[in-house]
Amino acid sequence: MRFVARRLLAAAPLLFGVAALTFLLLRVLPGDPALAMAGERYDPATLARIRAELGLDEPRLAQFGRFVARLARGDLGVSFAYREPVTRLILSRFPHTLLLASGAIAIAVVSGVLLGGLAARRPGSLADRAVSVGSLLGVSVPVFTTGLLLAFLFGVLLKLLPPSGSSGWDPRYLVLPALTLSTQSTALIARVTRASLLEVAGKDFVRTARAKGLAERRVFLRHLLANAAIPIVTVVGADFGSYLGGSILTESVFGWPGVGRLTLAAITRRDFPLIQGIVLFMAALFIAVNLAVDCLYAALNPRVRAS
Amino acid sequence: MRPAASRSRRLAADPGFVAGALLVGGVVLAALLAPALSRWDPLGVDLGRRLLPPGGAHPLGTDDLGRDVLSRLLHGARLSLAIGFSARILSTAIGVFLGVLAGYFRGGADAVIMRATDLLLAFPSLLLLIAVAAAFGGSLAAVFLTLGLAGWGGTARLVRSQVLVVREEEYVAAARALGLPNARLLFRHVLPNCLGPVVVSFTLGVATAILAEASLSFLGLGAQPPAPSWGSMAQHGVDYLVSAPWLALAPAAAIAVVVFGWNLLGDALQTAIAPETRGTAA
Repeated sequence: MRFVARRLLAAAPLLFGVAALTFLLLRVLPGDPALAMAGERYDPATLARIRAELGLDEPRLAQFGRFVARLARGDLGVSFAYREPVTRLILSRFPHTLLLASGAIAIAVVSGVLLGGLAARRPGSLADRAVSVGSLLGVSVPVFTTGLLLAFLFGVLLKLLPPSGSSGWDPRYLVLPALTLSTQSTALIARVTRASLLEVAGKDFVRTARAKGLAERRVFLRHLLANAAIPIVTVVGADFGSYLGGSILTESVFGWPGVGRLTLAAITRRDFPLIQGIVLFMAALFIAVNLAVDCLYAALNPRVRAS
Repeated sequence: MRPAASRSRRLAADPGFVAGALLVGGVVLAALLAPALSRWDPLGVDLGRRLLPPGGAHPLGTDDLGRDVLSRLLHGARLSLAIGFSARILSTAIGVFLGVLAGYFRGGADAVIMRATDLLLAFPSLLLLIAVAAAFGGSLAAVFLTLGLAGWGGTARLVRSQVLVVREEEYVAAARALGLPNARLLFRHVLPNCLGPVVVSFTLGVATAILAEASLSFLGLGAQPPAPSWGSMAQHGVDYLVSAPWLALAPAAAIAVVVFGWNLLGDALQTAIAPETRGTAA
């Protein structure tokens, strides 16, 4: 418990650093939000009015001061483009992203561990080589290629599932985007599972378990997988953390109304408050997922718990 | 047998290497011969030939402006390889330079460079690329610079660790004892012995760079129309997935093939040259 509290306390300065860095980067990089809003045919008076409205005419230090003061109250400001509070915008998109991320990770964990386990049973066998080539293919194929292929196959040719969009919480819309998003994680998890299982397989306690006459299924679950789990959990945690921040490509292919597309819109429209809010939100998620992963390590391995 | 000879013999016997070499070689050849192989102008608009299905004079059909998809695909190979290659050369050069600086001279330079590397590697890469590419407006030059300047983290870390090992070797100590100047020591003795892992990380990095360029173009932040970039062709084809699926599927498949080829090649080279770096390169 004290460990968790300490980690949460340490997160505050980290988040402040991320916020400051994002604020600075946005103002250093070229790109004027007022210009992005005024469009191509603008006159200087309109531009000046928009700049004043957005508070961009103040000195940067004053802008930063205002940003930090608001942040301390938990207020992320109002989006330039949507004219809505940033917090409300992000929270309205997040459930969709959470659903997509959870679906993708669930698919990836199940299929990745199964494939990795299959490959590790007989190293060098046909199944092993097929999994190894397949996982290389999995990390090579761009997300949008997978997405387009699946949408074409199941959405257009076979007409089994809707090729894009989302209608309320209809689960049929989730299948293709989740499957698409899961492929690279599946490949990675399969690779890590295989390597990790092979490392554990040579250990004495596995031989002992087999010698005791335990059923192969029990040896696999209780002795092999449990001891090979830590690297797998690391990969799963990192991927889940990044998916929770929104999957720009997958969401774009399928028109999924999540945080990823909101991010893309915010960046292309130079929506400073929204970009700042999203980056901060992602950093917070990342810290939270990392903390959860560390707690899982402790649960999985008594030696980590002791230290 | 000399180690180099046995190594190349082992590579030639590795089906992954052969398949990767064939895929990459084929695409490089297609890119080089694109003008000769294309029967149509990749930018030639012909509204009378809109959305023709694959077959006949247009093996991969035509797009909504009547342009030949195969010709655009072939010319797109040039763009994709050129960006992937040049961006990777830039980031490898930066990575090797910084890695040597950090690993050979240690001290303050090492601390600063490694912290910068950690920061770069910790940032969500696609987000960083999108933000920088958007700030500089979608253009090929911006994509090249973004990819080149953002991609050196892995190489720097790899070269540093390699240099740390090599600089302690006896032949380096002997050369130093002979009073060789630092520059000669570095280029004659240290760098050549770090080359293997760099080649591996370069090959895998080309795959990453090609993938990143395609993703940026797919999001509308890379090469602008009418340039035949595979990513933007795929994006454009999304709207025609029902009526003219070849528009999106052909470029999407092309990207997958190229990236897979480079990854196969990199994977095989890694096994042959630097098995100890598995999972760390690029």
